[in-house]
Amino acid sequence: MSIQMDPNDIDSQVCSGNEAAASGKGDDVEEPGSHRGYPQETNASSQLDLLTERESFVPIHSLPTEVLFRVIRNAMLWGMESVDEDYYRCLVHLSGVCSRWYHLIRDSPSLWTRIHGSDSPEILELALKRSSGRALDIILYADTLYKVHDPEASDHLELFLAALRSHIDRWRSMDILFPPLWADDIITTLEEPALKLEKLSIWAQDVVSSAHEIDFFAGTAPRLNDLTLNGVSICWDSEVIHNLTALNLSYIHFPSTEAILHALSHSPHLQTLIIDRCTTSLRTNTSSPSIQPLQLSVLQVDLGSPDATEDFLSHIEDDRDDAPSLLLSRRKKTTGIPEV
Amino acid sequence: MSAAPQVTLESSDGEKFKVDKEVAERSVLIKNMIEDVGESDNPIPLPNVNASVLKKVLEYCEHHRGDPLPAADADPSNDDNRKRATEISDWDQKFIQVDQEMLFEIILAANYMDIKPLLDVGCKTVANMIKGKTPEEIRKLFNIVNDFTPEEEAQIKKENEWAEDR
Repeated sequence: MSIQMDPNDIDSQVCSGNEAAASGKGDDVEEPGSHRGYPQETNASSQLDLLTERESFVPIHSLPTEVLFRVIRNAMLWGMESVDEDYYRCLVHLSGVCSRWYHLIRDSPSLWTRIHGSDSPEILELALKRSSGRALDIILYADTLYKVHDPEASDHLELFLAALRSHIDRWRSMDILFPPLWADDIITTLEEPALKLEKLSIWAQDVVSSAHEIDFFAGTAPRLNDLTLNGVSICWDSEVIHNLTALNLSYIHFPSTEAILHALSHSPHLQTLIIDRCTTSLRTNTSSPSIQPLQLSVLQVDLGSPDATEDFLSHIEDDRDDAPSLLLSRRKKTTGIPEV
Repeated sequence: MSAAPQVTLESSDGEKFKVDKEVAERSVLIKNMIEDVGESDNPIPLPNVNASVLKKVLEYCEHHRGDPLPAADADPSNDDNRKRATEISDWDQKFIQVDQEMLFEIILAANYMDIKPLLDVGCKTVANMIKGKTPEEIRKLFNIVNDFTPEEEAQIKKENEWAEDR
């Protein structure tokens, strides 16, 4: 048997479980509270006892809405850790528990901000609508989701990217892995300013070294603080890299070591810098700048050869005792002063 | 050496608990009350928390008395925050191994007394109980009545067809 209630009346929803228990409704589930010895038949005198007992029993329905939301959000965080592509399926299953959960989930925009490349057009539309203007976290691992040469896959990707493009002002984080065939589609999607974007990871598959510089977001992503580029290069004079705290570069060919030094000289807040399996055409010269990344705590540099790497490192000025270990080791080697 | 300042808390059923102020002030509600009222020998009433629950809550506060106070709600989209958001320490896990009634009583008390870390432990524990279960299993676990009308159920099913056909 079912219970009719006003979906907009949270208070009535809060006690629905208890009321059902007391009224004997809900034939399809175990009688709520029956294991606690609730009387099956009530009379006037025992009704007060029942009320008292009911008040002392605290079922999940008695949790305030904001607390129940915390529970559901936590349950979904666990879901996100394992299989991102099943996120909305899990969320929809939870919303099928009862009407209170249904309305809570449906009307909580922050539960709908995950956008995954495997989302069908229906899910994507639903999430974009129910997230109600909130910042979006986007994951697109094209290699595992689509058969690259399948025309349907290309259509799906095109629709997916078109839908995302119209919400570029809401992007908060974006994690993309794509095969070479789709590089143009993906890159085109990243041409307009992204005003809320904080984190961007781009992984180009099967790229050994990329020198083609892309003007991401027309140089405008003022909140971007965490950037990972793998096999995709960027215009090194772009303002997109000015507010970074973390920069992770791999499989990129720099036009010159000076170009990357110039770029880094505009990133004073950098805490993590990883340059891995990259190469450079030109070494520094006497007019090349030195950088002083005073907040740097993690540093890894591999510019293809020990000489190129040393050339780059020699332009980092950092005499802090807690400088990154790579700099401390280098200091020890060059000055003979032991590490602190 | 002078003894640590203490305060007295009074549960809804009239039991009094004398505890170190530092322990009681893990509760933002109590901290604010002490700041507003000033030092007093009068017990601080907690009309929404009974003695057995308050005892349990104070056990938690005593264990975590020296912990740094929590920051505002962290953004769960961040990987580190997400990890933190799903972790429960060993001690907390043992502490929260209670029956369902006590679990929800603790959550309600933590919410009322504004003890965010305890609220988090409670919510994570319930979330963990939900994890991987079907709606029917969740209903059984928490004695929730399926209160959808057949019409609502049909509508929701239609609305969520995409979730079934994968």
